[in-house]
Amino acid sequence: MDGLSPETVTRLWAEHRAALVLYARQWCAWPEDVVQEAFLLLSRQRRSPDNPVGWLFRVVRNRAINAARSNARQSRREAAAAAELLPWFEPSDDDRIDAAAATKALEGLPPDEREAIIARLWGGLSFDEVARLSGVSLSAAYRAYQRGIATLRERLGWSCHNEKTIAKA
Amino acid sequence: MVMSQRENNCKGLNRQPLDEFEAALAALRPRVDVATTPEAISSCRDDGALLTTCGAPGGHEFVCIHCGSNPPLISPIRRWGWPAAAAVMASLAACLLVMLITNQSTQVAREQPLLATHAVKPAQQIGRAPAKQMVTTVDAASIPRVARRIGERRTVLSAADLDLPGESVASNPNSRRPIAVSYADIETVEAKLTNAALKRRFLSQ
Repeated sequence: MDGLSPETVTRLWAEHRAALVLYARQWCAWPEDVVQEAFLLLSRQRRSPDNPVGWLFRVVRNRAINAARSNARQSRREAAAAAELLPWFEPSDDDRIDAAAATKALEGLPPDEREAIIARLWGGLSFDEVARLSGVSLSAAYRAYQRGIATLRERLGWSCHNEKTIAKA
Repeated sequence: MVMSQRENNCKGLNRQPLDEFEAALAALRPRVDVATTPEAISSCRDDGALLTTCGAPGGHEFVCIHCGSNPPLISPIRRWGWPAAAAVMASLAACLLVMLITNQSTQVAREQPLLATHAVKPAQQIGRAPAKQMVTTVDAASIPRVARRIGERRTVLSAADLDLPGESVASNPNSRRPIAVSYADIETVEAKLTNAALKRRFLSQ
């Protein structure tokens, strides 16, 4: 099997780049660099992966964790300060949930729950892929997702039967 | 085809629709700061401007953590050649150093008892050679006699003359070489004479 065509890489880039950046932002302060390297690596693969999206999430995950480890000493404070100032989402008037509040609520989640939610909601991965990505069982991934959603719902003041609530600040 | 329970669970979980809260969350657009175009990725794929491949800068083989490529296969000769050569050179240097130290200590051991050993030899040679011809500084019996000549001939024996081996002088008894010793030399010989009988004889003369 040949490598991916430029058109395929461009399509993957357009569809999954934002989700990958958000996924990498959990661990490192420069997620754009990590995602760009992952796409470059994908475009250089002689054999295209069976599941390019899952492959991209896996590469981004590994590289983001490695980058976080290597930069942990020098810029932990700066990264924390930057993450506090800048939301993980682009603010928009059309959103039903405030970007800053969602960022704060997501940051406060345990890592496994946060990873499962980001990979599932924004990455569009199935629970099976989330479980393989995180190295846990399918049921563990599903439970982490459900726990995280429940916590977010509570923190953002979103009731089950309320369509639109006070989540916007 | 019978599907496993895991596959059934998987399909069931993945088919669950998103509720409103999940849909509202998913509608948030993740922030992306740097606007790199996909064309840049495509152009970088060929020239490798952004992501360098593993190389061997400076001739050193290494595993590139950056691009995560597999480590290059290094032949055992190249892998262990340099450490083996370094070990051989270090052991050779250590052997040379040990030989040098041993040689020096042997020389020192030979040079130290100069007068003490020479003082014994003439005593053994006294019976074989005429005493008057045994004009050697290491001959304890002749030293006072030589010392008496100091005022007459005014010759001064250097320290090198004291080191003359007794055999060479004894074998050439007709030598007219003027020999004398300084008082300092005599005192030195007296001090270093370990043989009690020779010392007594030396002092009595």
